[in-house]
Amino acid sequence: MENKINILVVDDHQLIIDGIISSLSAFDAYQVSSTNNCDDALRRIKQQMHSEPFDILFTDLSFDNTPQNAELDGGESLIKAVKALEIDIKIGVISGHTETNRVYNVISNLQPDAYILKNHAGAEELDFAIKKMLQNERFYTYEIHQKILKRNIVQIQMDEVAVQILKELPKHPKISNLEGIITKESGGFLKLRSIENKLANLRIDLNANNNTDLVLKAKELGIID
Amino acid sequence: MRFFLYFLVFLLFAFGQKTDLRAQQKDSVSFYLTNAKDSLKTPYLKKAYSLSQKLRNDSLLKKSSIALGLDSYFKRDTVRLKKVKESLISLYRKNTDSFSLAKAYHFRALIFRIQNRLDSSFYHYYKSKEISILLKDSLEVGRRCLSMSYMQKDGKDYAGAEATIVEGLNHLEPLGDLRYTPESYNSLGHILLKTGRYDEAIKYYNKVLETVEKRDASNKDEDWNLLIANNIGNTYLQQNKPQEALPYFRKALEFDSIALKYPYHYQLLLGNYSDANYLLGNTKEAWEDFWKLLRFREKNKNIFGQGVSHNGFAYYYMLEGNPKKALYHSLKSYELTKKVNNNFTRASVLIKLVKLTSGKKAERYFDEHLRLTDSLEKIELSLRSDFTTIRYETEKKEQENITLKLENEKKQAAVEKAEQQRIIGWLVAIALFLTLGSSVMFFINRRKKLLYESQLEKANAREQERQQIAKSLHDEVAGDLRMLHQKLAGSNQQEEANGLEKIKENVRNLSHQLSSVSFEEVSFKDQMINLATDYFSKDFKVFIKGLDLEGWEEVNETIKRTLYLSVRESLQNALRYAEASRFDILFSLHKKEVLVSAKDNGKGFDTTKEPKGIGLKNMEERVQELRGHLDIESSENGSQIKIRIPRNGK
Repeated sequence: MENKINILVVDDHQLIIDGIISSLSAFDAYQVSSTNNCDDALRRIKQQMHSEPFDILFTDLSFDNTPQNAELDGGESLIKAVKALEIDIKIGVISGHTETNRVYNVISNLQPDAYILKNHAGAEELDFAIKKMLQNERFYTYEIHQKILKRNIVQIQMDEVAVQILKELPKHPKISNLEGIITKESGGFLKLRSIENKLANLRIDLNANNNTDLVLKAKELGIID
Repeated sequence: MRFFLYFLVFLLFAFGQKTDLRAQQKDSVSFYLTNAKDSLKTPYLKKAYSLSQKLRNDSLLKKSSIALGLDSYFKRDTVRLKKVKESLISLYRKNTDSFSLAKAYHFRALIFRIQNRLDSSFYHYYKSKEISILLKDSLEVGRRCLSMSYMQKDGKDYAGAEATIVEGLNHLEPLGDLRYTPESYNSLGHILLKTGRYDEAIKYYNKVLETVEKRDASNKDEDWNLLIANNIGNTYLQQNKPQEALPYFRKALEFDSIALKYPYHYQLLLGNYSDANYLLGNTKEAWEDFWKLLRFREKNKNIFGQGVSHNGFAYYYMLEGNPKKALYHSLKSYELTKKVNNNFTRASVLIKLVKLTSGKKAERYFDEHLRLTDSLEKIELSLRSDFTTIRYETEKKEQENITLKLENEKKQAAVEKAEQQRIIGWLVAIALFLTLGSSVMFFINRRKKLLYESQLEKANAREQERQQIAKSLHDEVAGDLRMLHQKLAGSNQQEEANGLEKIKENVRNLSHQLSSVSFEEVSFKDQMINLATDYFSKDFKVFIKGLDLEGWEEVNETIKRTLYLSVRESLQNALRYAEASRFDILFSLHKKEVLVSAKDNGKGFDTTKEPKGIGLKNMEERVQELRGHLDIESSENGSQIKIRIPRNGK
C-alpha cells in the first residue's frame, strides 16, 4: 500500500473514469481513486494531504454536471485551487479538447505536468505519462506536442526580427556579428543581448539544443527556406 | 393683330410727342432762367417758375424759385417772396432737401427784412445759416453771415458783426470764392473802422483789392478800386489825417468819366474829397465841390444824397458864421431827410436847427431831436440786444442741441445696446438651436449606439448559444460516442468501432468550430495565433501580420469574434476548396475602424456565383450586423477577403 502511487481521477462521465481505472488496473503500482465533481476532488486532496496524499491528479477540463452552488466550475478551477495548496502533486489533464485555443490556454496558464487527449488515454500512454510526470518532466500527447510546436512556428513567423535572426544566423560564424545587421521593426539595430535573448527563446520554442540545431529545425519546419 | 400694332405705333407716337413737349418745356425753363435780364428779368423768372411748377420738375422749380425769390426781394415783393418760400418748403417736405429748407429760411429772413422786422429777419438768417453749415454749403454760410453782419453793424453791434463776418470768412476763404469774400473783407473793414482799429481796417480794405484782382472780369475791379480808395481815404479822414486821405480820393476821382459810370462812388468820393480839402484849408476848392456834389445829386434825383449835402452846407455855413444860410440848408435837409426817412442825418440837422432857431421853434426841434435820438438809440439798443438775444438763444439752443445730441447718442447707445442684445439674443438662440440640434444628434447617435449595442448583445447571445451547443456536442454527444467506441473496441466489433470513431471526430470538430474562448481569458492575438496553428501545416503555411498593434484590448469583443470567425471561415475555405499553400492574414487597427485582409494563393472561385457558401454568407451577415463591409476578390491566383468594421457602430 505504501509503495503504491496514489492517483485521483476526476471526470464528470463515469464511463471515462471506468475506462481509465480499467486501463491503469493493469499496473500494480497505481492506486486509483475517482470522483465526478471538482469540489469533491479538492476536498479529498485536502483531506488526504497529510495522511494519504495523492501523487497524481488526472482531471478533465469540462464538467457538465457541475451544480450551480459549486465552488469550482471545472478542470481549470480545480487545477488552480490545487496549485494554490502548494503541495507535491503532479497534475495531468485528460481532455478531449484539441483546439489550440483551449490547449494553449491551459498549458500556458496552468502549466499542467501532462496533457493527454482522451482518445489516447490508453494504458500505455497513461503509464508513460505517469512515469514522466514523476520524473518532473512534462508529457504531452504527441498531437498536443505538435500543436504547441506549430503554434511556436506561427508565432515565430509573425516575428520579423526572429525570422531575420534565423535567416542571418547561418551566414555568420559568430553571434556577435549579427549586431548591426538585425533591424528592429521600428528601425534601428537590435543589440547583441536582445539577439541572444531571442535566440534562447527560439531554441526553447523549437526544442533545439543549440543554434545549429535551431537553424536546422527552422528549415525543417519551413520557417526559413 | 394689325389693329393692335397700329395702336402700339400710335401709343409710341403719342408718348414721343408728349416727351418732346416736356423736353421743350424744360428747355424753355432753362431759357427763361438764363435770359432773365434787365427789364425782362421779373417776367421771365415768373414764367420759369410757373412752367417748372407745371412740369413738376423739382430741380427746375428749385432753381427758378431761388432766382425769382431774390428778384422779389430786390423788387420788395413780399407776396411773391412768400409764395416762393412756400414752394421751397414743400420741396423740402417732398424730398427732405435741406438746401430748399435753408433757402426758405433765407427768404423768410428777406421778407422780415422788407417788413423792417430786423430781429425776426436776423433769426431766420441764422436758421438758414445753421442748416447750410450742416449741409457744409460754405458759400451759403458766407452769404448769410455777410447779411447778418450788415444788420448787426447797422444795429451798432460791432462785436457781434465782427464775429459773424469772421465766421462767414472762415467759410468763404477756403472756397476761394471771389464774389462774397471781397464784400466780407470790406464789411469787416467798416466794422474795424467803426471800432477805431484803423490800421487793421486799411489792411482788410487792401485785402478786398487783392481778392478782386484774382477775378477774370476786369471791369468788376473798377468799382471796387473806387470804393476801396474811398474807404481807405475815409479811414484816414476819420483819423483826422486829411493829408493822407486826399490822394486816395483825388486819384479815384481822376477815373475816366466816373460820374457817368459809377455815380454812387463818385458821390462818395467827391463828398469825402471836399471834406478833406476843407479840413486842409482848401476851402475854396471844397466849397466848389460841395456845390458840384449837390448839383450832381439834384441831377440824379438822389434825395437821400441831397439831404446829406444840405446838412453839410448847414454845417460849414455854421462854421463860417453864416447862420442864415445855415438855417436855409438845415431846413432843406430836414425836409429831405424826413422824406426818405434818413433819421441819422435828420437827427444831426435837428441839432443845428435847435442852435439856429429860438423860442418855441427851437423847443420843438429839440423835442423832436430828443424823440428821434431816443428812438434811434432804442432801435439800436433793441436791435443789438435782440441780436445778442438771438445769438444767445440760438447758442443756448445749440447747447440744448448738444445736450439733445448727447441724449441722442445715449439713445443711440441704448439702441446699439438693444441691437447688441438682440444680436446676443440671436446668438443665444442660435447656440440654443445648435445645442438642441446637437442634443438631438446626440440622442439619435445614442439611439443608434444603443441599437448597435443591442445588436452586439444579440450577436453575443448567439455566440453563447453556440458555445452551449459546442459544449453539449463535445461533452455529451462526443463523450457518449467515445464510451460506445471503447465498449465496441473492447467487444471485438472493430469495424463499427472505427466508424464510430469517425463520427466522433466529426462531432468534435463541429464542437471546436462552434466553441470559442473569451478574448478576456486569452488575448485576441493569442487566439489568432492559435487559430492559425490549428490550420498550419507544412503544406499550408499561415502568416499573420498586424497583430502586434497596440489597442486590441479596447476593440469590442463581438467585433473581434467576428474577425476571428471570418478569418477561420476563410482559412477553411482556402484549405478545403482553394487548394492553397499559403495564407496571409493582415490586420489593421484604426481609431474608427478595424480592417482585416485574408488572402490565399489558391485557385480562386467565382464570386458572382449564387448561392454563396453558407460559411461565406454567415460571414457576410456577421460583418453587416456590425455595420461593416465585406469585399471578396477572387482570381486564378487566389482569393482575398477584405473586412472593414467600424469600431463604434457608425
